[in-house]
Amino acid sequence: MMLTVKNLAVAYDGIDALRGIDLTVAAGELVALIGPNGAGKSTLLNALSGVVRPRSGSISFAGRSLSRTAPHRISRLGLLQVPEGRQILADLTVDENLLLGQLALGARKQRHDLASVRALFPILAERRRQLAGSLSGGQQQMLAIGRALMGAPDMLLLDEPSLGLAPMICTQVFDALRRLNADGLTILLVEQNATRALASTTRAYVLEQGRIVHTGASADLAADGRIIAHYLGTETPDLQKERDLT
Amino acid sequence: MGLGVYQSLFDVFLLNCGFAFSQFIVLRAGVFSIASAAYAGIGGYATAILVTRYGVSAPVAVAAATALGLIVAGVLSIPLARLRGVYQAIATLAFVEIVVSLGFYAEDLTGGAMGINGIPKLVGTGTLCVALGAVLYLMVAIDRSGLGRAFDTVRQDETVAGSLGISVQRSHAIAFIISGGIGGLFGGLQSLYVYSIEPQQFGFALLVSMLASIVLGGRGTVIGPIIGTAILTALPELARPLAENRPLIHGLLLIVIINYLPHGVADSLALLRRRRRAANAV
Repeated sequence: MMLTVKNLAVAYDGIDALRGIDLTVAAGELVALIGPNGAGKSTLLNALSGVVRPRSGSISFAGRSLSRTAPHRISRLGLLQVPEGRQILADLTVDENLLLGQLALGARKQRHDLASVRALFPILAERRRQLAGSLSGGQQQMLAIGRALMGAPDMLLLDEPSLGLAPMICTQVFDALRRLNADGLTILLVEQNATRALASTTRAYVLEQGRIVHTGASADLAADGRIIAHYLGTETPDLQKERDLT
Repeated sequence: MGLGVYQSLFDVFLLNCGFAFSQFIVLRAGVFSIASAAYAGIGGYATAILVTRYGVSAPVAVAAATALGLIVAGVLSIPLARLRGVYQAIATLAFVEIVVSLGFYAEDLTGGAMGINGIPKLVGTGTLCVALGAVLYLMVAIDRSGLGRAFDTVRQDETVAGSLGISVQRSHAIAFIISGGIGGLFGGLQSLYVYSIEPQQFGFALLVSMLASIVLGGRGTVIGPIIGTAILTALPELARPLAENRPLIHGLLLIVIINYLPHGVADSLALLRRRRRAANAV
């Protein structure tokens, strides 16, 4: 297993945010973690990347326990997070942002360079000298993923990559993730957009109120009546539109 | 005679530049420390005491002041690692007040409110230029290295810094220590320039002028603190005929710059130039 989470619990000021989380991701898998707003998806990702300390339970990555490891050391081990809201450095150019990603390499070998990232996202080649802050939301998301790739991840954690993106751009981003996965990159994808996440992944976990309530093959979950009722079918078109705008 | 006046003004400018860089480096790394005045005080007193009482030579005394600044800042960075933003400012302001109080009350060591007088003037324009040159070299080297980028990232967002393999705690500690070293160095140089020192000169007024030079000049580029210091050093001289109204001009200038060039003079101009170049590159 590349990532094994056992009986993980996280609490903020004594209030449980996550309880009894068991989750595994094998090398080469593309796994989705879906669930409604406030279910604890981002908390789980932040526990994996060391930003949040778990109250109990264990996390191991490539056979190493991560329970007491600082965030920057976790990144240097090859478990890289693409944070929610992209968080590129607006005052630096596209290329400077990408080169920044190499800081996470530590002693590990480079796997992507500027050329291979540009091949994956051609728009980043076109905009190479532009300030990152002047890119559109979708381009910034591509830049954030490209920057993470420069750090040679063995496993990528993505927090809501579809957030605020137009459907067409979203498709491009998910296509790129599938291509990266086909090339051997292990990915854990956190998404509120369940339809899209289940369509792009092989396996999924459903998180609700800090617990994993369903797990299985993405195709099965997408066909499951209960899941459809809970996460896919209950949204009115207006709500969907509102989220696309935020 | 006219030239002599300008030379001493230039010396004051060089000293203030050093102080400004002590403040600059912590802000660059996103640490809101305002302890630089305290480092200057520690370096200043250490040098004055070593030279006047123990007959230590000037280079050794200044080196000791720099080392003391480094050590004090390194120790200070440990308890402050948990604080952020305005809380760092409050804690470091308290530290500045503690150092000033020590200056007043540790009379046997510091001479109390009378300060230390009769310090030989062993530092001139040349020495100040060399010291500032060394600090500038360090700043440019940091700017061009991974450390500068790490500072920028930590300043913007600590989660992102972590995801890029940057240790927030280490970056903050490095910034603190460099700030302490520069503060101690220029505090020491100042003591060997001004003949006498007293506790009051390392207090709130120095702290504000250090911060003001960064606000005026900008914290993003190395040239920022130099421009800010040049304005702040030249302005009182230009406004000399206005006598007691000088603080008024000072305040007005700060308000105008904060409003119209919010990133400081140097950074606002640099940003403008970059935007233009980026627009042309499309």
